Amino acid sequence: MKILLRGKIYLTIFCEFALCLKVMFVIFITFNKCLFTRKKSYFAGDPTAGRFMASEFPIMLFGLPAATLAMYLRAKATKRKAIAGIMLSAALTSIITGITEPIEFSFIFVAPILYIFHVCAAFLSGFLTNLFDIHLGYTFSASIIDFIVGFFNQKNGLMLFAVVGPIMFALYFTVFYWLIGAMDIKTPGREDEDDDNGSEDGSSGEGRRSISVQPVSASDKAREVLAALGGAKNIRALDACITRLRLTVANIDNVNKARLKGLGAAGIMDAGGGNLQVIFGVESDMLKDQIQSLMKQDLSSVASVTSVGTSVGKNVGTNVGSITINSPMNGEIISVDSIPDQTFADKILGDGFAVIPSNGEVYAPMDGKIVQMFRTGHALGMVSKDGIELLIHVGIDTVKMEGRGFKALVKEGENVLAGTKLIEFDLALISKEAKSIISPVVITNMDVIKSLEIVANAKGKKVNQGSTVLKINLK
Amino acid sequence: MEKKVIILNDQGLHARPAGILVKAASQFKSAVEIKTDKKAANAKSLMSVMGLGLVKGSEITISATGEDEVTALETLVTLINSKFA
Repeated sequence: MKILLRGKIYLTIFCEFALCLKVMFVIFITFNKCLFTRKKSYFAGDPTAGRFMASEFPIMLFGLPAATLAMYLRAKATKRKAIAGIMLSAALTSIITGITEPIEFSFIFVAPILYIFHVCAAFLSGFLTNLFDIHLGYTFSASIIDFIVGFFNQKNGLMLFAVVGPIMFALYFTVFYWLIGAMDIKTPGREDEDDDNGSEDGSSGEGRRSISVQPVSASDKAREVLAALGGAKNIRALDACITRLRLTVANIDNVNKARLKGLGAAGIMDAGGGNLQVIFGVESDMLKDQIQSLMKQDLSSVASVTSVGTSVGKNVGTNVGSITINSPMNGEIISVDSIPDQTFADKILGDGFAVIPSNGEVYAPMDGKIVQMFRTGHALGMVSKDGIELLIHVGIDTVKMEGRGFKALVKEGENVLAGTKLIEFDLALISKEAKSIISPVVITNMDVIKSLEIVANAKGKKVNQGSTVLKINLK
Repeated sequence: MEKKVIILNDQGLHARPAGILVKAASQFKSAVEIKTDKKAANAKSLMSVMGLGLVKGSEITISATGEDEVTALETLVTLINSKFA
């Protein structure tokens, strides 16, 4: 529902934006053509022109709008109203401006087969417009605006409305309506409730919507998106267009796709080779700018913490106040005293908490710099920009495994954001061979800490990586 | 004053022995440093000591400067030679 709601807003904005752009563009082009016609063309009255372009009119004016009708009729009854808004604006966008992406994006990711049909149907459309010798041209796209602009240059335009258009309308409607039903394709309004709502029992769509919308501000969102993308160090290139972030990432496995969807991504396209597109709608470009500035900020601020050497530990930021540290793993949070190892339990290495992990992944529990990655990959140290030094130690006595079952994903000196995957480990192997799988997460420079506590809703409970566990007050 | 020692315990200076070493070093007033041929670390900072990545056989120089430097140096050298037992 969250996605639907956002989608609707984006589409409305997108449509209006597109419409303005389109109108300006058409005026410009028409003006241009009137004044500076250099060669014969459709708009200059060439009777042979407009054969190819004509093939698109049946799609934009009839085919895709018919698809929106089919998707609307296939939406769940409870979501029809929201879907009607989305689909109607998408259909009008296609008809009036010839911009079809709002419609295409609503089905190509959930059902590539519909896109294949869409391509084949475009061939058929070209075949039919050619058969009926329809000549229509456009300046921008096959829309009503272009139809009107080129009205006096057309040939057999009537056939478009009388024959080819209705054929395409019927074809698209039948295929979409039938395929969506037969294959249970999750076009908008057909998603499983659990996908976006959890098990909230809100009686109305409105109620559920307000619950599932996350209270993250714009820059928080950029931060979360960056973390879900695997952090700054995972991003090789970042760009955006009107609907999506376009990225090249170092390691696609570090991208948390589920989290991205949770943050409002309507679709994620993995084009291979680390090339990734994440569809956030019109806010994509803004997100890109925010992420870029976050990447700069984080790299410079964290880099200002001196690298390992005599000064680490003294280099404490001036920030006073509460700082939080997240769980680096999915699992149960326990206190340091319950760690089955005297050195840890006595807090000789520092205070903090421990996790009984439920799977074999370690994520950065805070933003910071990796200052120590043990060569065996079983533990690592990182320093936050506030000067907090954190040791994450997977299991007890795991140093004896000499690296077996551990895979380090980051190197010393790397700056990471909270949520970046740091280590993968073989939980079964370690449970079998090590003394314990209980994994301490401790602050090793307790001299900078005034107080710390495990937050109430984490202590003794199962949490996911990224949940706040520790609240710290610096001296 | 300073002294050269070799790390003897099997897994080198991993988290636990490093923690013990840092705790021992922290009780002295003297400034204590651990140096390898490449890096130097504040012996009172765990992250810093672990950052040296010392393995079995690594040769290090421990240096202490301050009023209790003699005891500090002696304690730490004994600790390392006893493999942190």
